[in-house]
Amino acid sequence: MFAAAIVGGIGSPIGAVVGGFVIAFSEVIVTYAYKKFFIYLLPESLEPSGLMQFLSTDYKFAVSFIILVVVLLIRPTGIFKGQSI
Amino acid sequence: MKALLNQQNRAPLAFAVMGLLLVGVGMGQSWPFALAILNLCLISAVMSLGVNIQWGYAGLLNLGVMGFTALGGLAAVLVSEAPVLEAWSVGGQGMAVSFILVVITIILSILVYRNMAASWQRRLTLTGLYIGAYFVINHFYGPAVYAIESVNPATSGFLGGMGMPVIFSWVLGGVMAAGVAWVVGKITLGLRSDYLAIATLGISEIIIAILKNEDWLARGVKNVAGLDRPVPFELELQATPWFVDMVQSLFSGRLAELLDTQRADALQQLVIQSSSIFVKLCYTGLFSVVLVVVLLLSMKALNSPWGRMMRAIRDNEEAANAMGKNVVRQHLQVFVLGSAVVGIAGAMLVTLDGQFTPTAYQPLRFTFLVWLMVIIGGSGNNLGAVFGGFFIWFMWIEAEPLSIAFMDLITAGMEQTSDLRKHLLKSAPHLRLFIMGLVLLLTMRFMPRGIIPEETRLHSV
Repeated sequence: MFAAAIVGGIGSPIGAVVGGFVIAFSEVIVTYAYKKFFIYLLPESLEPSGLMQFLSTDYKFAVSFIILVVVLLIRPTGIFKGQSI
Repeated sequence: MKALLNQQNRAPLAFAVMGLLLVGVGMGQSWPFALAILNLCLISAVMSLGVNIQWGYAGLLNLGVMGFTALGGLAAVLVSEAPVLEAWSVGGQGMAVSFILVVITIILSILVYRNMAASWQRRLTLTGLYIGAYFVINHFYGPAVYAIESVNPATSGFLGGMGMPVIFSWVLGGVMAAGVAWVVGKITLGLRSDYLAIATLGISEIIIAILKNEDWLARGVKNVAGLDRPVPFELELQATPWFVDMVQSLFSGRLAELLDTQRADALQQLVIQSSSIFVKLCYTGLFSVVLVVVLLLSMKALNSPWGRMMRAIRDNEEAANAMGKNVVRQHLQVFVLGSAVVGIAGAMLVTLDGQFTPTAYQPLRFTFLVWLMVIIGGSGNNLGAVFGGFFIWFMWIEAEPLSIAFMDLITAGMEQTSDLRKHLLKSAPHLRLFIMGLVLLLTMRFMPRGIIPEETRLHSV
């Protein structure tokens, strides 16, 4: 949650909303098991054997921390220029 | 009273009180228990010296202490465990290939970053490189991990270590923590203090997550138990003739008073008790050596021109920068040094425990408690940090007996079956955090700069 606020930009309400979406979606995108997805998409002969995850679900919070650090480095005030504390 | 508590007297007085407290535990509870507390006090003191180097000298707010402690612990596993040859033969090749590929990816991305102008083409190339590298590396890494983790998963399932005496891990722990601190520092030290705190907190959580989930490295949450020990085992000691002889001569007076029939049993009891004390004393000796070396080096460093420069940077970054000191570079240096000391302490801790449990690394215990030691002991003063390590660890352990005694006292007048009494007695262990908070608040109220504060060097012109 804290990550979301900082990513969006502290003091900017729109930033907080956007930050929340960015964090939540990237967590899910990176740790989602795409197996079902490929089962529907591909013919049966190509059905994937594994879960087709990029990263194990245990690393979910690591994703948000990495995004946080990257945002802090590139735009210390968040995506939407918030206050710098 | 004021004169008694002045700057010069405070440190010896504080340590004398600490010694008395430990002796009191030895007499009142038991000597092995007092020595166990003392051993962890020594480790905590080394840890808080490390944090003191970062916070007290340079003002770096590092909330990632836990991560560096865990890296030290990992070093203890990697040094002392015997290599699992079967795992190496099935997965070693894949691991080596993926390691080389990671290195190649890093070199390539540095080359791309250096040789292309900042543009969307560069961003696109880098992104493409990383995505491509991810799939190529996973092609080798995934099967290798699977193969390694399937080798006797109940007892090994990891690559094992180097099979060397565990004492070398204290060096390796420092080196590993320093290496990771260099990378972390390179990334985060451009941030201002509060952001640095958030970033290091996050990175330490990531380190723990990796240790928990990468089973091929140190078995993850399956833990590594039964590590090598630098000191003899109690049971072996009890069977060694010279040790039995030593106990016999030490307690000859007490043994002589007994009847012949009781003597053998009494000796057996004494040997068992003394073996536990002896092993703990061995650890105490080893840890004291490390603590004294680190303490002497830090005191020397703090009083050197280097230490003066660090304090100048801490007190006024802009002024130090204007005087031609490279602030970012010095910050990186002191961050690496402090983390190395924390890593050494982490390796010592796992050596003492004899097992590596990634789930045991909690920020409360390994980051905030260590911070409490530095703040209460007196940041910027090495003796203060050592005292903080002793005192806070002592309180952390003794808070439980104290709070149980306190609850017994206030519930003494109540009826045996009263619900309030049961509830109060049940909640006694939770008073530990309350007591720690109380200690912090009282110290901050009456000694805002810590129990043994930093010496102010005011020279009249």
